[in-house]
Amino acid sequence: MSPPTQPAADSSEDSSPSGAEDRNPVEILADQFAHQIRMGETPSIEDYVQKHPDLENGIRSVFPAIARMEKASRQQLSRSGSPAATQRVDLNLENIGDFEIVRQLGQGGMGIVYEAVQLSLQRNVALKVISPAISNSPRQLARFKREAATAARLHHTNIVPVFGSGEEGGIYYYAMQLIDGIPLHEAVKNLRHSKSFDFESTVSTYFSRTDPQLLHESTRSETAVKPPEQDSDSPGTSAESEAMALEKLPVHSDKQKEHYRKRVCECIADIADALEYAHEQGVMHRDIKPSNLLMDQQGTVWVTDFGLAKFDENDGITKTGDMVGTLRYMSPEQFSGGGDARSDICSLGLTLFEMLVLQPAYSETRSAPLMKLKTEQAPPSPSRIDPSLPRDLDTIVLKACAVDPKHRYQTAGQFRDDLISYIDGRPISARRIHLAEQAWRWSKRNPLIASLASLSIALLIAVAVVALVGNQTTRAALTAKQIEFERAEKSKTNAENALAEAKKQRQLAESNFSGAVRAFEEIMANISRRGIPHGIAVEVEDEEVRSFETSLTNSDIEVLETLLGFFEEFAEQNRADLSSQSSQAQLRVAEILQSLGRLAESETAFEEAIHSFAKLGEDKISGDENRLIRMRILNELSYCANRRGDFEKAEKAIADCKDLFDSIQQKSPAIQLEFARSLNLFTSMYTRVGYVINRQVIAKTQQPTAGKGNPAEKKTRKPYPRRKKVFVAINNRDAGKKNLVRRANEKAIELLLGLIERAPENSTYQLELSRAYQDRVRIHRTSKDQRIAASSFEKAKRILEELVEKHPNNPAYRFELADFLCNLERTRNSPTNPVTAARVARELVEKWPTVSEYQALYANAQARGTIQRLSVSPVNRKKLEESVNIYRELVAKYPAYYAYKVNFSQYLVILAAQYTLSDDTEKSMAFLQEAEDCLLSITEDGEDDVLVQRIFAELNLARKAAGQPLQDRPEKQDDP
Amino acid sequence: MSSDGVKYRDNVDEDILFLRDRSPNDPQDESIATVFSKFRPQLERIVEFRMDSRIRSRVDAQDVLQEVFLNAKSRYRSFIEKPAVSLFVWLRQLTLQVLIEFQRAHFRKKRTVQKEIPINLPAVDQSDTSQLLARELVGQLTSPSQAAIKAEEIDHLNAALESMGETDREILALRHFEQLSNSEVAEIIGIKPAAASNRYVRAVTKLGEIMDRLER
Repeated sequence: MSPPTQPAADSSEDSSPSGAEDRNPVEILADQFAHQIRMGETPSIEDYVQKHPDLENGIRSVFPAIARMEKASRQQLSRSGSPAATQRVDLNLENIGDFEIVRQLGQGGMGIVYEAVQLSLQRNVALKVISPAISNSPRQLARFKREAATAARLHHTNIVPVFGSGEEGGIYYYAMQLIDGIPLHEAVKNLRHSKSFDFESTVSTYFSRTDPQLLHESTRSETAVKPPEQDSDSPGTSAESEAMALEKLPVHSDKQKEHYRKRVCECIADIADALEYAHEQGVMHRDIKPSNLLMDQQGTVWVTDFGLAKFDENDGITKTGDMVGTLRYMSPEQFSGGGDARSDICSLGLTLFEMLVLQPAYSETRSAPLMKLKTEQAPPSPSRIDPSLPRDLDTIVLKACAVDPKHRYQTAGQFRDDLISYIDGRPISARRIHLAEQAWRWSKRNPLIASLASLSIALLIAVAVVALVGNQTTRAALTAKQIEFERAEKSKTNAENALAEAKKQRQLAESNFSGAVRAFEEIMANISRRGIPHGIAVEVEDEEVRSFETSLTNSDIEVLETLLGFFEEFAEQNRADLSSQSSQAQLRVAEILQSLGRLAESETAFEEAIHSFAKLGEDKISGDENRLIRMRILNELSYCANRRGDFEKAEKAIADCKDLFDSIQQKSPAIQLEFARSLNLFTSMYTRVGYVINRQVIAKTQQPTAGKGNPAEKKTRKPYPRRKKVFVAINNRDAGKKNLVRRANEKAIELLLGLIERAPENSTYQLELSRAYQDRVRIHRTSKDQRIAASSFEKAKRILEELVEKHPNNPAYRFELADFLCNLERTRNSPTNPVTAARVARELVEKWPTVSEYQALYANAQARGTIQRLSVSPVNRKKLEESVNIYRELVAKYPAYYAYKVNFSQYLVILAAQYTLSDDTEKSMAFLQEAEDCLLSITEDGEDDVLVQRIFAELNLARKAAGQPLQDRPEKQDDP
Repeated sequence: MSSDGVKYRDNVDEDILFLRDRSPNDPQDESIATVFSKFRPQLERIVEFRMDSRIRSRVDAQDVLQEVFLNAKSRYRSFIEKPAVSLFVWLRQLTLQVLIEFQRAHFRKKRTVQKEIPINLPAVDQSDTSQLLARELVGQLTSPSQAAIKAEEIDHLNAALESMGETDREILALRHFEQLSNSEVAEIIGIKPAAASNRYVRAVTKLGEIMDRLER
């Protein structure tokens, strides 16, 4: 046969000079470059540039894209698991350095395992020789060395010790203790083979084997690591001998089963202990399966290949010959390259499953369907296969191999403890899953529903964030002013009186500023008096009493607008000679605008007020007093900007506030409180939104693509920056900021504790302190040590509960508590309590129907409740619809409010998903359209921030889902 | 292997010569089996790349290749008499044909397959290289939210690839996803190797620019 030409893919013959005359020189280099990548190398672009300086431009513009395409191409290959990518190792070796090869034990994903004698120490070892596919890639090799070193540091009675690793003549290997034992998959196979009805006794005999013949067998088939799958002689013979052993054991079968199960649990508990130990050292196994667990003669189980089983970046799928054998025990999240310690727990759970019932949890033998199945379905109850399996054991197994890592044991130690509890007959910690929960988990895994459900999860995060922005601003409003509220019925006459009064006062005020101020204050007091319960009226006295926009009636608005005109004129006309009054007037203007929800205008007015106050001389107002006023204004400004979604401006105002604080010598309690508020505003902004939303960063990353101006472009979405980059940018930028935030929070707590020490009964201080503690929970919630978060959570909660108890009629505290329940998770994964929150919010809304914050809280709590339960149901739909309706009104009423719009559009998207899932595409599309319109109105005059972009992305996803309902729904298929 | 020029002018490559030499005394068709197995990894790659994502879980590339081989076995004798293209290109054509048949059969018979469209992936038509490319370039999907973002990126990338012109697009796919050589690409597209070479560089440059813009 003539030598067949080489396949082009494996050759770079085209780049040889002979065929090169008329080819583009860059193309020839590109070919080489791509070829190197395919061979597992990581060629450097710089090297090429150095070697071919004349082609630098070409190389630079072409190579990165090539690397990218080759990577994509490789990913595709590894996904399809093509044998083309598999490289088999076939080494015929006699000696590797100090080791003399005795025989081959098996071939695994990473290379071949030999039994060898280490000549210098005259000991038998298992030697794993690394496949050239790995050792040829410097990066892979480096990783291998690192992992081997880590593995060598693991010392545990159930982990096969790694003696060390080395290299000899280009061959990389590592040496392990040779274990005289049988891998558990062989044991299971034997048990199945023996077809003994009492298979348990077979195994229990095997596990406690003392039979000399068996011993002999096992030494013959002794395997250290990866035993040859075809350990050919062992299955038959051991099965036979076990059958013989069985005859010798006249034990009642139930007892045998029980004994067997306990024995299995002991083994798995030992392995779990080993995993716990390794996980603590930061080492994952990644490939726990029966064939990686060995049982030695003494009945000890050993885990082999720690941290080494799969260190290939494709997670070994491509490299292992026995793909299904590996996939079967892999956790679903590992399919997509993810996975953590809990993946090992899942794999061990699946192993336990199989050990108990001698059948794999998933019997599918084809890899692609197996993967699909595993991501979508929890394994069946093992008790379905063996009805005699104790319920507790069933529960333990199912918990360990739950599809969602969150539902598993969170640590191997917990798994171990439950197994031991079972063995000792004590109650286990795992609880059975309720039917409803099962249904929910299923619905989460169903492909279509899954995407939509996780869409909601993704949104949930966003919802939490924004709900808090909204509420944060509320809180600021509530504290800054204490509360004013009103009863609609009562207020009517009052308002009429006030209006008459205002008109009268205005006439007077034409020439008399103080009269107007009095009118203003009187109206405000009037408004607040209407709603303020007797109990707290006293406390409010020394507080600034101002309007709370959301409780305004129409007549209030009329009055305010009348006054607004006056103050504006006054400020304008008296700028020069009545500077003090003019500043006051300016401030009133800002406050009124804020009251009316005209945030942007109000911010400008606040800024002007700050300027005019800053210009006032000491003769008009004492310096510190002046600074305190400016601090207050800055806090108001910051909170306005925050509410509008302009976080940059909000932060700037806080920074200015800090400068003022620093410049004050005598820091009175009022000043300290104002600064603590400022710090709280700052931490709240960052703990709730800062890490997600940062317009500045987005603006930077997006500038080059952002099409400006052209309104037609608005409709077609701009390409989004790659999320990773954005987040990285934010993270980098915020690494320092996080520290700053933490310090701000500590400072606020310190200040407030100091204030409370002097005035323990002051509920303003208490409330502010509780907020600081809530922020502290958010800061520390993500850190390893959860104690700070937990204790802060309790502190914040206690303060709020005491406040509510002391002031049962003050809705502010109840609001605060409800908000806390709705939005603050104690730890990262713990649920909030939206049901209680919704109840409280509903009471508040019923009592004070015009307060928009209460309505928003109610809507948030309702929506959150449905999201946490995440199922498609008419009840959830109804609740969501209620939330959406509330927000629709709020958005119409307060178009400047960022948080309302964001929440509104999010809930619309979730609601649309609900409709899609229940087949009402039309409604779904209508809601999505509404959401899009709302989102576009946020970004009308600026660039999108991350949050908005994210909702857009989810919206598009939901739209795609809604757009193809026919293919997704079997029942809608045209049945003949 | 023969140089580009020769291959372009004369489709009778070494493989064809080899087959011509052996076929008269080859009742078991071992010669075509030998040649086929040589190209198998490449053909498999092509199948993996071009296969409709919806039938991936149902159809094994190996089955497709088996079918291709049977086809090749029954037809190669007439092909080598008057080869219109090189042997590899011919096998590639056969492979694509078989693949299309497989897909047709699947969509005709097993309607259920079509129900499995994952909502986060655009339905990919096997004939549409730009979508295939876009999907691969955007990479493996991980979380649903990322999937959504990626779906978005795919759309953009698609649009970008769409604007590139069919030939450029195809050249990229052939070079990097099917891993063909410049001369093979030239033959498939039907242009001279020098032109293929230049076009390739232009296409990559353009793609690089587009990706840069997307990533910013």
